[in-house]
Amino acid sequence: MSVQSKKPVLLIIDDNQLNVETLTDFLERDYQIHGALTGPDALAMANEIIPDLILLDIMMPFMDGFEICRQLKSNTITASIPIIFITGKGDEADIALGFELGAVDYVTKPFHMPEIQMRVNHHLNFSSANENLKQTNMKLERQVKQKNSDIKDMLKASIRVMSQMFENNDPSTAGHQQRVAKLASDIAKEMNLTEDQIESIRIAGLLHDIGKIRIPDTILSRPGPLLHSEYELIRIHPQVGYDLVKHIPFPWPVAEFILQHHEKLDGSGYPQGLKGDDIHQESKIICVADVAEAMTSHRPYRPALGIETTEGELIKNKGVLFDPIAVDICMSLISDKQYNYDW
Amino acid sequence: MSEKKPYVLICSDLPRTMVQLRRSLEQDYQVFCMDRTDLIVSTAVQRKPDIVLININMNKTDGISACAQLQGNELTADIPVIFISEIFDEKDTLEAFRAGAADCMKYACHVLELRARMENHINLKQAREELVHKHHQLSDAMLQENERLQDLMTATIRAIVQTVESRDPYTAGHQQRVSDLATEIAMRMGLSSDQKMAIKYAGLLHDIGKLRVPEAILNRPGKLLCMEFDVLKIHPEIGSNILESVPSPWPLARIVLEHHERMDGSGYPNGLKENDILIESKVIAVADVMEAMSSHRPYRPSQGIDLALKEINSQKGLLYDTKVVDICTELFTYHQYQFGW
Repeated sequence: MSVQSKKPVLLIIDDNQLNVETLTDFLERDYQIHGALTGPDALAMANEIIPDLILLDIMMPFMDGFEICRQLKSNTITASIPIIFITGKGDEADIALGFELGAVDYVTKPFHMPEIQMRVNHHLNFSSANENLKQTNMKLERQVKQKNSDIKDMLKASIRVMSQMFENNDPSTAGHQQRVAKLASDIAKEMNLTEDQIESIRIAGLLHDIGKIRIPDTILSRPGPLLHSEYELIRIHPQVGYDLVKHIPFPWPVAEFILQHHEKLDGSGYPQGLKGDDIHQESKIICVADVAEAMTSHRPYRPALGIETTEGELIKNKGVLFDPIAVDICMSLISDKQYNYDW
Repeated sequence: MSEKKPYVLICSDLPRTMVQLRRSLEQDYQVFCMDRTDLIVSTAVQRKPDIVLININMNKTDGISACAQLQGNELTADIPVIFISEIFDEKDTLEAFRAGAADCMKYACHVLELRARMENHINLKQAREELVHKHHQLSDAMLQENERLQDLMTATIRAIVQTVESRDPYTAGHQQRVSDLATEIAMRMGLSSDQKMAIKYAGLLHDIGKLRVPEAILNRPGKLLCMEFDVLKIHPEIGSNILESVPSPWPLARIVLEHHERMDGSGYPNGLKENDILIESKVIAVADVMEAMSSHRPYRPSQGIDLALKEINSQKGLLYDTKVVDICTELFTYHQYQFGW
């Protein structure tokens, strides 16, 4: 709108050329003035130049000031331009109608130019302050949105970094978390979980083994069976993962999903030996995807075990260790030779 | 204004007009009448009217100055004031507008006009209030989102640090202490607050690339073989690769990449010299050496602060930035700087 260094733009609408000239003579020092002598001209011009304020006569042939006002107010481009009626028509009913139509002021004869200028100034200031506020608000709104998406990006980055750190540390299982995340979220989709749940499963899947970072390389990638105490050591990883992730303010309890991904339905899992419904559904799904992915993948210390062995393991323990629905869906997904673990 | 009647404050020194105004308005407005202009501001502050009508005839200047006072007080400045006067001449009207009046009209008995003008100004005021209200809401939201982002970043960095240190407990706390010392040096060097923040966070993360270095090399007592040392030297690049995907206002990845570069070009990975190395990296380099030498490691005891200071000073200008070394030395020598644990 009116930049300070630029004169505000006024549109004077009056069928009497002399009136327009008189007003122009007086106001042109401080404002940039445009004049229009008929309604249609005025509407076209207002639409084109979008003045900062309109001075509007009422008694005009063809289209009177009230009608012009109505049309200006119903056009989104011109609706917010303040209108001041300036007229010889001084009946109270007319004044009331003028305001009702959305005018901000109504000046009647006899005209005192300095007073008219005062009123024009008052409304210009008021509306430009409003306009500034609107602009600032719009800017703020954009900034808030931007921050919001920054936060989302930051969360994504946290996940990526954490996941990457782990894979840097344990290349033998590189990609395992990625693939578990893919398989688990595909299972979740088939189970008709909510978008939110699917996303939280994906994230927890990407991070579920992060706690293994604390387990010495020599144990983690050891070929052949582990000693009991070595195996015990591996079992710290859900708790370690929980501790690492718990402070990141995810909108979901991702840390708990990680904590429970080795719990089993019959309570034989770790670390807490939780049973059945005490285990998060998200964790149960990750658990199934984890087993399936691990068994079907090659490891430095053993070749891949193949689909049949994997399915045998899942079926044998379906409903005992593993969530039966998740098992069924998982099997139907991976038995398809085309199943793609990549994103 | 449909649910609650708007509150109008009428100040009039003509008792008959006052009564007339009250009668014509009280059905749709909450009306409060007074006749003393000197009390108008305190009354308005107390009653918070939506609009003020001034109808002062005996002493017009009192009415106008009351309006000016209302407009000059931030608690009442947004309340529109309408003058109603039959005896205002052109000059008075101008005075009234100059004093901040929203409107002037002549006849109190023109109720229809009066109501139209009042409603107009009440509506304008409400529109403004809505904008202001929205502005406050958005500003608050902005603060909150900023804080959330800040918290998130801190939490992420903390998680990353914990992850690295849970694998390599011997350097646990190393990054924290380097970060603390480097930030202190940065402060005394008069670096910008952005640079200080960058140093603080990059300090916390400078060794995360060591994740990729086998434990056997990382914690080996005694001298490393040349090839083992070459493996150790990958850590700035690995760390920088990891950090590249973290959106942050600072060049964290580059600072970490360059924290083992040295002034004379003898550092790694790129053998950068002097001004090609970020000042943030130079600060962290000195803090890193100070902390590493003065703390105990499983494979060697602490070498002590004095020896560490001797080392950085003997290489001042050669390996390490002169100003950074001077300020670091000053910190330990004159300000009794101590590493926290």
